[in-house]
Amino acid sequence: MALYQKVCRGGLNISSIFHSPATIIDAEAIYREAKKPIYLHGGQEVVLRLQNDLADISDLIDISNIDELHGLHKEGSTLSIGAGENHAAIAGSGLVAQKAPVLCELASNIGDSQTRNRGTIGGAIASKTRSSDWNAALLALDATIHTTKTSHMAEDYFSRGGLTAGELITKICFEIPSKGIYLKQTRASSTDALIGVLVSRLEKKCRVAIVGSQRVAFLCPALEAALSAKFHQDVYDQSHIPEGILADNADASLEYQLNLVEVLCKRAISSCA
Amino acid sequence: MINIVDSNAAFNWQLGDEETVERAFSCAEHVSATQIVNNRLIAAPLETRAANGKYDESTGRYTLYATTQNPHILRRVLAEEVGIAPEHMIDVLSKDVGGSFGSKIFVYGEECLCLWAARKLNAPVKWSATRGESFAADVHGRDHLTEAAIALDKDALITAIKVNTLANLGAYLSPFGSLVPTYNYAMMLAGPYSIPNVFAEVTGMYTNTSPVDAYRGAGRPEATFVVETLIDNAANELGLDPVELRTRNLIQPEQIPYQTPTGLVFDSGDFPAHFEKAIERAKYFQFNERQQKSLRQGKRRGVGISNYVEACAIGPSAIAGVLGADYGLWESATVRFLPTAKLEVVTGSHSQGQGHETTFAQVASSALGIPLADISVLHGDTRCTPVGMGTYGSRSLSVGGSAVVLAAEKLIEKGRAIAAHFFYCQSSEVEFASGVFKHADGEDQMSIQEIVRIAHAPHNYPEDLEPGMEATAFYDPKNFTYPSGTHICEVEIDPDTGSVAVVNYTAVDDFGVVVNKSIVEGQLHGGIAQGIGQALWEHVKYDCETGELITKSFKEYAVPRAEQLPSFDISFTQTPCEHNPLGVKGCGESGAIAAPPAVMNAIYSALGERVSMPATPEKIWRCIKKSAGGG
Ligand SMILES: Cc1cc2nc3c(=O)[nH]c(=O)nc-3n(C[C@H](O)[C@H](O)[C@H](O)COP(=O)(O)OP(=O)(O)OC[C@H]3O[C@@H](n4cnc5c(N)ncnc54)[C@H](O)[C@@H]3O)c2cc1C
Repeated sequence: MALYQKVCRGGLNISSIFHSPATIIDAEAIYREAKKPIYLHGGQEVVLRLQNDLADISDLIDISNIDELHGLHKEGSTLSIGAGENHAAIAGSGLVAQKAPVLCELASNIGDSQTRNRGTIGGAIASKTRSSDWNAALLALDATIHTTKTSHMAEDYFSRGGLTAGELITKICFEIPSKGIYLKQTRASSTDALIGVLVSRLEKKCRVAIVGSQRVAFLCPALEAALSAKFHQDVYDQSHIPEGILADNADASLEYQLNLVEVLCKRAISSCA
Repeated sequence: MINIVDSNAAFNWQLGDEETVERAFSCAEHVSATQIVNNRLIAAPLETRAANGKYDESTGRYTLYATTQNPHILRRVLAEEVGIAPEHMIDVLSKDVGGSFGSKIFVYGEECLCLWAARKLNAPVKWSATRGESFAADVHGRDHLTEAAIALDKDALITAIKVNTLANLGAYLSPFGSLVPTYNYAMMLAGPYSIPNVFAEVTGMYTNTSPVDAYRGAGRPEATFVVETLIDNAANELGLDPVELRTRNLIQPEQIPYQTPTGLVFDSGDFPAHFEKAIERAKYFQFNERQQKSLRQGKRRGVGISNYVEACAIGPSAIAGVLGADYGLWESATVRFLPTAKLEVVTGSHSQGQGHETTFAQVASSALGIPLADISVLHGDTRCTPVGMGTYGSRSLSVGGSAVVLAAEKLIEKGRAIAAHFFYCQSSEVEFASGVFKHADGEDQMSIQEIVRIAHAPHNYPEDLEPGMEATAFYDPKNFTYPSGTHICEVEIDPDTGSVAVVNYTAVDDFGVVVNKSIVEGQLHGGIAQGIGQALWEHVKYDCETGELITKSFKEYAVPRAEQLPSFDISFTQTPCEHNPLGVKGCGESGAIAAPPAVMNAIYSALGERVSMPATPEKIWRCIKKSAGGG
């Protein structure tokens, strides 16, 4: 147990206790006993929070040494990715390239190489960032998010409040698609998606998931239905896109975002055809 | 609110003769006019401003550690304007500053407060800006709204340019706030072209925003943008290739020295040389093939040229005087041999990452024949540097480096006298080259290291000669230097999303003598990146209702990222500066000056229409949609 000291702006010293458990059971036990703990993996969100948020964090629980959170496997018709795998490991995995190359593509376009080598898929999903690229993959590949308490279907995970206190994501199982394409137009200031579109062809259906800066990703059931009847970009119609989710923002007008949705959907559909 | 003033105009300023220019316009064969927005920018150096003030009760001395580009000027202002203490009771130290781009020239309230509070509390007081504070309170750059027009005769020779510019000064007048949009800007409005008549009218406006002042290029990028936009518009309207129109109007080498209509004299330069070289390197005349290839992939491709000449290495003190300043713009250097023949080069210039430690050492090394390993360069400490004027306006090597040369020459003179004493000859008979003093007609020779040891142990020594080997020199330039160049940018546009990719970038610049190629290339890389940033992404936004800064972090204010930039093709032509001992011209600002028009002309070439900076994907998409809809 080492003391983690943070020197804040204005000379305030906040100290948190730093833990580095080797098992999930230990991590959860430390969490239960601490006053105001937080799990830390790659730190890409947590460090930012520590910088901006003067609220005291009593205990930092580093979960990066827990073997149970690692691993990339094929499990039946799904591809299982340990919550502790970082974006670079996923992008570089031969298994992922073989089973779901769309995930390699997606992971390799997250942030910069430092972020990809630190940031994990579990951290991205736990922090529920709106424009996270992974949100599109969760929805479009009918993913199941396994945690220490239960398992969540991706759609439920987004619509219900996410994780409960101390709950750890252990792995994510994606349905292996026969085809999948993820395309994103980034914002000017980062590699975050202004609009990202993931079109997938699963065993029984096709999926179209959209991420934007407004809300976590959403599916387009009407477009999916039209594509099930005829998988061709011509079936795309603006009316297929759920209304009221995207809106004008500081980066782009609604009109432009809808144009991006159309262009990226059509391109992704024709690449998946 | 009480209305105490009629308008928010701070000043109205003119350069040139309006009547002559109007006459040129009335006899013109072709006139092209346009409105230009030069977007407001944030300097965004990696290190935000920081200060640490100390007061020593026992001596009454103040010490300020600050991230300034010019410690001596800061000290003078703290003493003279702010009244903290007399100048000799304040020490200012500024070490290892992480970038500045102009924003750290100025004296800000926080530095003064740190010192003031240190005395009140009798304790050191530290302050450092958060990124948000830095964005909100450091000076911003550019922010012009300009009406500009160009007149051409029947041979497409440019006869006149006129501009009317509203320059946003922010809420308070910053030290160079009035200089940047007037002289720094309007004097460059003929560019490297033979344009006989220029008229500029500039109105400085007070607004509810942060002060606007010098940012990399400071006035010259705004001018270059106007000239290069007008030329491309005119070429398009006349059905001429932009290369052809520029070729007809460039100042020819035999016209140098060249008196501009705006009051400058270009002492050196060969504008066609870098223009032709850039066209060649960019494979400009094979552009069509690349354009066809892009078209086949559904992309629109454009190529844009930007020629520039700028006035930097500021500058002759006499000109500062004419403009009303009560300071000079010289630079100082002390070159000091230590008893073991190691060398300290102490400069009044200041480095915020430009690598003076390397270039100034190279200058001293070649002047004195001392190995680089034996030289250290010191700067940024008023306690041990000669009074200096600091770093801005691409002046360090041309002005500060020249002072190093002058100081070194004094030492060589002294070395000659010592050598002559041992050679039993006159000083004038002693030659010096590559660190060795030689008797012109004899075998005798002594290394500079031997001479230095003798100067520190003057047992057998010329009568009346001072011991020691140290000299200080001040150098006041006779003119500005005039770096020039041609930058050519190629973009590929996805018409469905409006996304722009900068696919090729060629820069050919004439900086006179290049002392260190990697450092010059580094300066260009950064400057070009910032210029591309201005063209495509960067834009300071305020909330119109509340006056609050909207772009208050890197989340809202988009600076360029390495992955968005192509590999730049950088090369040089060389016409040495005629009036400084190094023949150097200054390279710090050229990239930021040349790049915005190169990128925007490339977009214009791809779209056939103008969009304003920053050319965001949405703006481009709307422009394409509008022209497709026939609107
Ligand atoms: C510069 C930069 C660029 C980025 N660009 C992109 C981009 O282009 N696209 C994109 O989608 N994302 C992007 N991101 C987001 C990035 O993907 C996430 O920040 C990263 O994946 C978070 O993972 P981490 O391991 O660093 O999380 P941490 O910061 O360690 O943790 C984040 C949160 O999740 C919790 N947590 C972590 N792991 C678990 C777990 N297994 N179970 C439960 N809770 C957990 C932590 O307690 C914390 O609350 C970017 C981030 C940065 C800093």
